Amino acid sequence: MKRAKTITILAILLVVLCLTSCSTTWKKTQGLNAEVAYRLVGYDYIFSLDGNEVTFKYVDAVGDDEVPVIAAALMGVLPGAVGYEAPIGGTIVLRAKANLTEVQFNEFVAAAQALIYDTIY
Amino acid sequence: MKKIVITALLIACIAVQSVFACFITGVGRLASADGSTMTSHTCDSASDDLRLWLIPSMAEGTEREVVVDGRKDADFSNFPEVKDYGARGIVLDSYINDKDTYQYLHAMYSFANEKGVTMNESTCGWTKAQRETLAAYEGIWDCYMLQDAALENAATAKEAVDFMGAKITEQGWNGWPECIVVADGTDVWVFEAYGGHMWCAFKLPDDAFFFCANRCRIDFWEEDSDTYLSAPNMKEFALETGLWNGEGEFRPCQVFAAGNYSFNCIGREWRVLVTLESDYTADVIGKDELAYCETPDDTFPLYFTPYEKITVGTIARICSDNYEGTKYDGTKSAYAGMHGNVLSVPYEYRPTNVPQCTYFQISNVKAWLPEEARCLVWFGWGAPSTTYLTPVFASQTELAPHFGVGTRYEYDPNSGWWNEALVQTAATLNYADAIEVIKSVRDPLMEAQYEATFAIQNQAAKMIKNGQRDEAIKLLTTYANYQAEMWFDLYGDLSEELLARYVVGRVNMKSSPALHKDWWKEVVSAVSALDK
Repeated sequence: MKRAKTITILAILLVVLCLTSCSTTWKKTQGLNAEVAYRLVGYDYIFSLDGNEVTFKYVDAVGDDEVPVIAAALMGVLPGAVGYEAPIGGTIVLRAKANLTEVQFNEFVAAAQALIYDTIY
Repeated sequence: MKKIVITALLIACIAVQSVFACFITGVGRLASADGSTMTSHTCDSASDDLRLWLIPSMAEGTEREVVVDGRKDADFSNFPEVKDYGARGIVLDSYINDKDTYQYLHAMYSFANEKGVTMNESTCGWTKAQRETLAAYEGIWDCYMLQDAALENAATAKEAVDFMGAKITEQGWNGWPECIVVADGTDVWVFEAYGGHMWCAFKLPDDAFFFCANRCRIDFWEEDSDTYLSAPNMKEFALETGLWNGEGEFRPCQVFAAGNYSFNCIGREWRVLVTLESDYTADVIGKDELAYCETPDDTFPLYFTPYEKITVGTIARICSDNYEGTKYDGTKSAYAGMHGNVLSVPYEYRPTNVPQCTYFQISNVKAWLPEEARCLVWFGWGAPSTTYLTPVFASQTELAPHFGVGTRYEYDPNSGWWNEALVQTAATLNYADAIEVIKSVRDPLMEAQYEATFAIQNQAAKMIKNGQRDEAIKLLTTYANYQAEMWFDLYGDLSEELLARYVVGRVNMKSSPALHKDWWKEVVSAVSALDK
């Protein structure tokens, strides 16, 4: 009886693990992963896409009150933007309400690059 | 009699070398790799003052004296509290500062202020007729004083040009013609003072590179333009005085300052062009080697777009040039000896890299940084090929002690100039070997320093934007002075190392073959064949 109970618990755990794994796989296969890096006048900029999240990494030479301005500007060109966070200096994570397509991501990067270029020049 | 002739020749030789003094460049922000504007200056006179000081802001309402010839033996270490203009300085006028002035880096030719306005100068020449005509209109503003005053008062390059132009218009120019490039991170202006009340200036296109080697360059004329400024009535004055006959194009550089059309000047221009402009391949100098190039303004472009974006390293390379690999190769000259010592005196063909260089500076100003973090100049003493470049900010609260001490006429181990001069001199014992040793020690540090300085500037920018201005300036000061001290210590060791390396004419006690072995053998054979 005790043995049967152990087997049942292991079986349930296995099912849970399997379901969790399948869920993760399912989520990742739905969203696009991509990265674009470029350099402008000595500054490195990286845009990383993970499903509906875009992580923007930049050389941190900006004031704390400039971060929301930069984030707002980037959200303005991100399709379906719903929010952002700046967990550490030099990183802004933007969220869209839905996963971005490759075309949308590339268009966003192009628009963001233009914004950065205009800011510097 | 023989002694008198030799003395006269020596004086003439020194005079000629002084006239063909400085080499300058200007780089538009879209022509540079890092988006900065750049101005550079090799201050090549063998007698210029070698000290660098910070002149603090002077309060609104204070009196500013206008001094002519106030450099040699002058002491600006406690200016403006102590006004020591040297034995030759003469106060000709004064004015009241109508606002707080800007702090700036004061050298023989002052070159950067805390707003990020930077400049340089190259002394040019007249024809005899031009000199005699313009001498009658001599004014009170010499180049030293005008650059000081412009940096004290101008927050932008355009303001500096307006200021300098107004002073020359009102009170006249004193001294040789000068070409001055002024920049501020956004704009680059080329300004030329010709003598009397004559001057003009143009705004360099953002993607352009400009250069001047002791020859006035502004060869075009525009009126009613936002990008071209000039003294009033220039054409009328030129006609009245006979400097221009009214025919053909009005080219200010030719009408007012058409001297120095020799290889010593034009050769350096040619070298810059063949190095940086891929389309420029014409070997014009080869046609008439040492003779005067009569139409350089038709032959050389006033400015051009370089085929590669310019870096501080590019400028350092251009200014370290000795025509290597060309028919004017300084390493392959009898003067250079068997070890290709390009730092010999005299030289056969005047290159950009000369031993008498007092200091070498390259400004590197990025307009988007806060002013305190943007006013960066790379600075070193002595010949560009052997010196280092250390970062200096015009916003610093103090400079390392070795910047403000020393005269070239008395050895001073605490002087930055002497510290480098010993490395340069030791290098002449076996230049071909020494330059490689110097590069191996210096260049990796320079590369790391570019990156570190970039990071420090960005950190300072962040601090300033977050309200920590004083802390940011302290960071910049500490960093810059630390770098300066590092180079000072390093070069102190390096001069001893080089001297020991070449003791008794060998390299670490091993024989050292000639740089250009076969050529040198021919030279020796030819000399040996001469009558003794």
